[in-house]
Amino acid sequence: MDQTASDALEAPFVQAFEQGNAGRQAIAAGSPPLLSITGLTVVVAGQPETRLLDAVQFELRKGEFFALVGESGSGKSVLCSTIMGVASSELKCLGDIHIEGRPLAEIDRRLRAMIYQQPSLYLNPVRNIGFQLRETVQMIGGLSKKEASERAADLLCDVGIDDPKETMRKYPHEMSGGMNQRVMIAMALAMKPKLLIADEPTSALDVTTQKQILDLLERLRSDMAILFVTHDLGVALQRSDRIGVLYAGQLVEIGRADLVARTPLHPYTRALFSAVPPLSRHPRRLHSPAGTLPEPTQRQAGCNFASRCSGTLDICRHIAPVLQGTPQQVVACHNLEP
Amino acid sequence: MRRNAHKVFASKIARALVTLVLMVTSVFILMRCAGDPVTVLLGPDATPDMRAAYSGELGLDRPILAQYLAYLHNVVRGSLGVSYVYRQDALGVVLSHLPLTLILTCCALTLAGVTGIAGGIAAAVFPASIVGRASTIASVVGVCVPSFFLAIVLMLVFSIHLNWLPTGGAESWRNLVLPAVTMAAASSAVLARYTRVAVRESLDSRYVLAAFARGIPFRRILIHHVLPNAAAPILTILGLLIGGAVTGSTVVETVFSWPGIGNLFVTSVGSRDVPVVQAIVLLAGTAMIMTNLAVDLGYTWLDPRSKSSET
Repeated sequence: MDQTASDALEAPFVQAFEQGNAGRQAIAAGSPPLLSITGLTVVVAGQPETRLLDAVQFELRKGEFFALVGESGSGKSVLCSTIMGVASSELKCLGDIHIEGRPLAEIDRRLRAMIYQQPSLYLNPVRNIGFQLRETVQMIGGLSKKEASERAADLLCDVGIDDPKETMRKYPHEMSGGMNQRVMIAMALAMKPKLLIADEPTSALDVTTQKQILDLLERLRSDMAILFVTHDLGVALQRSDRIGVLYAGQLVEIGRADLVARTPLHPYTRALFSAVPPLSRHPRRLHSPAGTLPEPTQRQAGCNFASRCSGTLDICRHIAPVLQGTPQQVVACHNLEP
Repeated sequence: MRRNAHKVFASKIARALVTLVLMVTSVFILMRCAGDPVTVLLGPDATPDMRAAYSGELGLDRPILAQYLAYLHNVVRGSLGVSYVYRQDALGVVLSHLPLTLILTCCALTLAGVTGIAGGIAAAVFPASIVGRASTIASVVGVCVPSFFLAIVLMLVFSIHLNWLPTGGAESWRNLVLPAVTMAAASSAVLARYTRVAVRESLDSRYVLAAFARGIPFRRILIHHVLPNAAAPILTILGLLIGGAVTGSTVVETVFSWPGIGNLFVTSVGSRDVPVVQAIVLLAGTAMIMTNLAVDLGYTWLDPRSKSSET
C-alpha cells in the first residue's frame, strides 16, 4: 500500500469533512431505499464489449447527499442521463434502476429532476425565464397561467432570487451563471422531485456563488435524495454523507464520507486524493495517477485499474474484483492487506 | 434594454439608407460606363451639331457632379426618364408590369415556404422515415435542377402530353400553375435544406435535452423550444428569396412568356431601353434592401440576444 501519499495528504480532507459535519443529518438506515441501482451496465448498441458503465450498484435513501466522484470519461454523465431516462438512443442499458421500489419505466418522470454543469446551455436562449418556469409548473399541476406565474415566482423566491417578477422577464443571456443555476434548481423543484441529480452544478461558478448554491442544495435535501456528481473532492467530503468513486465505468469504492477521507481503501481513491495539492505548502510537483483512463473500447478482463496500480497481483489481470466490505465502506480490490 | 433596442433599430435603418444611396450611385456610374448614350441614341452617322444639340437637351454637357445631383433629384421624385420603346414614364411602365410579377412570386414563395419549411422539419425530426428521406432527396434534386430545365420538363409533361395546362401567357389561374411551381421548386429546396439543419441543431441542443428531462411533451418542445430557435436562419433565407424574387423570376417569366417585370427586363435590355432597365435595377435593389432590413428587424424580435449583442 502506498501509505506515505495517503498519510501526508489526508489531513485537509478530514478537516473539510469535520467542517461540514455540523449540517449532516442522520439518515434512517432502516428505511427502504429511494433509488436502488443493481447491475447497471450500459453498452454502445451493436458493440456489447464497449461498456460505458459496468455492473454499477448502489442505493440512495431519502435525505441523503451522495457524492459521485471520478475523472472525465469515467461514466458519471452516462449514469446521470440513464437515471433521468434521456440517454442517447445509441446506448443500451442492462440491469435495474428502481425508484421507490418501482422500475424506471413505470414511474412518473417528475420523481427525478436534474441540474447541470453549465446552466446557461440548458436554458432556451430565446425564451424568457418566466416562460420556461411556467411551462414546467403548468405541466406538473395543470394550473392556469396566472396561478402558474405565482407558483413560478414562489419557486424563484425559494431558491433565493429576490426579484422574481423582474427575473421572469429576463432571458438566460442577461443573467449570471449562478442566477441561471438557481433558475435550473427552481425548475427542478417545480417537479417536487424525490431524487435530484446534480451533474457538477458548481464547477462553472465562482467560489462565492458555489457556496451559495451548495448551501441551497443543503437546505433542500431534507425532502429528497441528492446524487451529486463532482470532481471537487473537497466539496464532496464537506457536503456529502457518502461518496462513490467511479473508475472506468465501475464503482470501485463506496463509503461514508469520513471513512473514505480517513482510510481510502482502493488504490485509485488514494491516487485521487493524492492528486489534490495541499494548501499548506507549495508542492514541488503536482501528483497525478500514472497512466490514463482506459478507453471503453480497450478495457480487458480483470480489474480496470490494474494497468495503473502499484499493487497489482496476478489475479487482478484476470478476474474483476467485486465490491466487498462493511456496510459503511465497500471496495472492489483484490489487494486489501495493509 | 429597451433603449438599446431602439438604438439597434435606428442603426439598422440608417445602414439600409446608406446602402440605398450607394446602390443609386452605382447605377449612375454603371450607366455612364455602359457607353455614350448619345451614340447609342443617334447612331454612328450623327453629325457633331446633332450630337451637341442632343447632349445639351439631355444635360450631358454639364459637369459630372451636376449631372449626378440632377439624377439624384429625379430619383427622389420618382422620375426615371421616358422609355424609348413605350414613349411613357419608365417607372410607370415598370409598375404596370409589377402586379403580375407580384402574383407569380407571392404564389411561388407561399408554395415554397410551406413545402420547404414543412419538408425541412420532417427531415430533421424523422430523418429515418420515408417522409424525411423523401424530403432530403427532393431538396438535393431541387437545388441541382436549373429552373429553365424544370420549366421545359413540366411543359412537356403537363402541357404537351397531358394537355392540362397552357404553356405560357397570363390569361387565367391555369397559366399561373406551371411558372409558380417551377419558381417554387428551387426556393423550396433551399429552404428545406436550411430548415433541416437549423431544426436538427436545435433538437441536438442541451436546452432541448433538459426540456425532455423535465418531461415536457415532444410536440410542445418542437413548437415552443425548437422552432423559435430555428426561426432565425430560416428567416434569413426567406428574406434572400423574397428580395431576389423580383429579378429571380426573370428566367421563369421568359420561358413561360409571363408578362411581368422579369420579362420586361429581358426585352428592355434587348432593345436598349436604358430608362426602363435603370428603373428595374433600382426597384429590384430597393426590394432587396428593404427585405434585408425587415429580416434584420425580425431578428431582434425572434432572438432576444441580438438586441444586446450589437450596438
